[in-house]
Amino acid sequence: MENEILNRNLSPDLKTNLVNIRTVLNNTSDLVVKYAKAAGCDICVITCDGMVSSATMANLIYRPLMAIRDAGLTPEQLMNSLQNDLLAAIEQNQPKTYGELILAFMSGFAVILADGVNYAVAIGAQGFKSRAVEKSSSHNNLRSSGESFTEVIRTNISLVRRRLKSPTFVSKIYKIGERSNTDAAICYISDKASPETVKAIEERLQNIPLNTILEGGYIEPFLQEESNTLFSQIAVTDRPDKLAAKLYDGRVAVLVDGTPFAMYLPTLFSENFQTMDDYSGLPVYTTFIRWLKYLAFFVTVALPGYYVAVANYNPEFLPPAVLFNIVSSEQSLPFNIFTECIVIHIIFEIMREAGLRLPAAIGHTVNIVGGLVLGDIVIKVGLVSAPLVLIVALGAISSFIVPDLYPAITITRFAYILAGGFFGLYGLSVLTFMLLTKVCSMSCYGVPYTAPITPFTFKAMRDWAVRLSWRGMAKSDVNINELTGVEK
Amino acid sequence: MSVRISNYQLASLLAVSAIFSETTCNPYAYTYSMDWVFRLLFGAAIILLLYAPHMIASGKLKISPLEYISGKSRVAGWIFGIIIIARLIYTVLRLTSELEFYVTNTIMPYFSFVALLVTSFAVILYALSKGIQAIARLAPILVPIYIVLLVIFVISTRDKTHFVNLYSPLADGIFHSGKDLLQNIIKNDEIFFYAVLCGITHGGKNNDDGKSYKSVLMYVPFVTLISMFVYAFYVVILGRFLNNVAYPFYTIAGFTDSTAICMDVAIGMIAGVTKISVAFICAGMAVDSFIKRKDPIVKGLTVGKLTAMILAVLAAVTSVFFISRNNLIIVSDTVYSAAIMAVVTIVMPLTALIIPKGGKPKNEKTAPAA
Repeated sequence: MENEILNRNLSPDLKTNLVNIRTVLNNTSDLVVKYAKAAGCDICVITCDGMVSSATMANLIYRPLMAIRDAGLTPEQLMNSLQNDLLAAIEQNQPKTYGELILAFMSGFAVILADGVNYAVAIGAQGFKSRAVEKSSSHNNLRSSGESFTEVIRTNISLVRRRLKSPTFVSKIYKIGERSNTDAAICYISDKASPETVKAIEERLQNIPLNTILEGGYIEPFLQEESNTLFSQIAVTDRPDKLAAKLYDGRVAVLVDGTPFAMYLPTLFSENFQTMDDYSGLPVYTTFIRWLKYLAFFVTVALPGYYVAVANYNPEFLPPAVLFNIVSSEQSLPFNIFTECIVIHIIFEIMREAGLRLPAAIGHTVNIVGGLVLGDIVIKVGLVSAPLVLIVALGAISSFIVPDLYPAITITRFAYILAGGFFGLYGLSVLTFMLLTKVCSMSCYGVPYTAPITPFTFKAMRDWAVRLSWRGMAKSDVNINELTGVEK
Repeated sequence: MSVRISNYQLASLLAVSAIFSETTCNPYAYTYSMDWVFRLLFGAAIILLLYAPHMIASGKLKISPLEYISGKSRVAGWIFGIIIIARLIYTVLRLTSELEFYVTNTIMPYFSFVALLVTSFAVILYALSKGIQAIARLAPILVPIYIVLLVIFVISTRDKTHFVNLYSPLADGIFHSGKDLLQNIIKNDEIFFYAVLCGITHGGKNNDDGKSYKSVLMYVPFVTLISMFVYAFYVVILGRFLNNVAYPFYTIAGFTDSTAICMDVAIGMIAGVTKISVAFICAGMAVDSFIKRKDPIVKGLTVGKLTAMILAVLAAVTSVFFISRNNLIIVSDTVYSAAIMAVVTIVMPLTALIIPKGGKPKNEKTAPAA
């Protein structure tokens, strides 16, 4: 019944219209209807409670309506006058069906209906409460801007626009989700982004089969070319400066209303090791930090598995002093190294997850209890050996150096421990081969995930193997679409 | 668009296959020689000559000679295709055996052969599912890792070098060196990979197809230089003991710290698995080039039947090859391998070049003009 009404055109009869609107909205309590008489015509203003600004309503709608003195207007003339002369709003449209009217109503528009006219006038009067632009919480930077995205899509677009004052910066808003009617925007720089990529993303965005989209994460799998993968092909940031930089490299961003993060694609594996601070710091130091991050990634993924494999199968590879320490500490323990390693990693993940979701004050307490008390006690009680705690701690700290890859790191680390525990170094080699093959097989909208290393692009090395100074980087740009290696 | 790989990726793939298989090489099937200069330089020159017909044919035809021949003559396509597939499957069997030898003789002496076989084939199947493009992208990552490993070896063993061990060329006599040289050449599996993969390369940014000769011109000098360095390194460290050492790379790793041993073994195994996967993929591509049927079930049945036939023959040959290593078997193996290599590297590309261009195989339907 409701769906049928949504497709119908508005009636010239005001009462019929209101009955139908109430039917469609199931007499919802946040439907606010104000009746008035203007120029001798019966009109009503429909708003959604909490979605409109009282000040805007008073100044933009009610004051001009009250000021109409001319009593000789027909309803048609009144609506034309409201739309063209009296109500000066930035956002304005003319719903002709109940569906369009309801969408405008739910988007925070004030909808004016007049008796005797079969269309409405919707005026943008949004004024819902939203979080202010605050400091980024997920990516702390030392020198670059502290601003981060909020939940309001238009604010987010304006934050990017402020950094890209170029006519080639384009943003297009779509409604996605049949029930939620969520706003989603595609942003790109028209002379940098690949038109094929933009078109493909637009098509995918418009064909998302979900009814309700509450967060950007809902649509991520529909934008990815490969869904079941550890390494996400879509990067996420809450920093407008970073997004602007990525758009400048030829990427396409997708923003979703209600999500304080922007997604951008295509993405590369090497991007996980770059931060905005890299571009304001000393190039030599940045290069050093980049390599340190690669080393940390390797350590956090492979070290626990390597330790388990060597200690279980090839203890002869360990230096005698280390071997002696391990043997002496393991002698009195009830579990073998493999089991210990699995258990302690599970405990670590439990503590991390507990600390993550709790309020900061309690989270710190959990971390202290977990890190200091539990860590110390499990060694003293004789459940876990001290060398293993050292290995786990080193791996855990290293994992936070590349936060964007944390989910992939965690799963891969467990896989390495299992491979090392069951098959020793052979298992580690085989797993490494599989991981490398997997990563090398991934592409995102024609751009290989492993670019610019393989396929190799020498020009891109200036911001991968080393970080050149801005003098060097200013000589030419590297567009993401140049990294395809023409190997399609 | 069909899968394409770049010339440098193909060169890296061949280099990985050549260099890394050295580390997983079965010590009973290979003789290390002190005469590294003669063997490698002369060997490189001959190998380059063997590649030449393929380089010319693929450059002129813009596709691999096998694919071209299959398009022109179904019978010739089947003959050459089966020869290449047989050689590639033989490579797979030999490499699997070498891998098993390598693993059980180095880091995991107690590892079950069945477990190893099952895991390696599972991994290879995974690699096959990802395709040649993934493997080709992987190769340029492995080459620098190998070079880093070499640098670590050189630094770690700098106090153990004895340059008096270096011999002048042909120090072991021309007959002995010539035998080594022949063995070195027929052991070259990469030429068969190239015979299949040369049709899918492109030159780089300009997408200039048919320039796969660039891969060979990158790969052969690079591998020769690296091999010469590695051999010189073996000789300098191990001297006359080289002929009595199984896996010299692993042995030298033992002179370094433990990390290098692990890296050496890990890289050796990754390389072994990579090479087996490439051999499998090339066999599959060779099948595709002469079985043009679109129906996957018919194609699968044909490929299965073909593979079973070849496997049956090869299983018999290789079981003899590995069980009994008398001279007669070695000689017959050498002749067998050399004959196949001559057919694939010389006869096949020449056939592709002389076959009339206008011909079409019988029963081939021509698509109606758009």
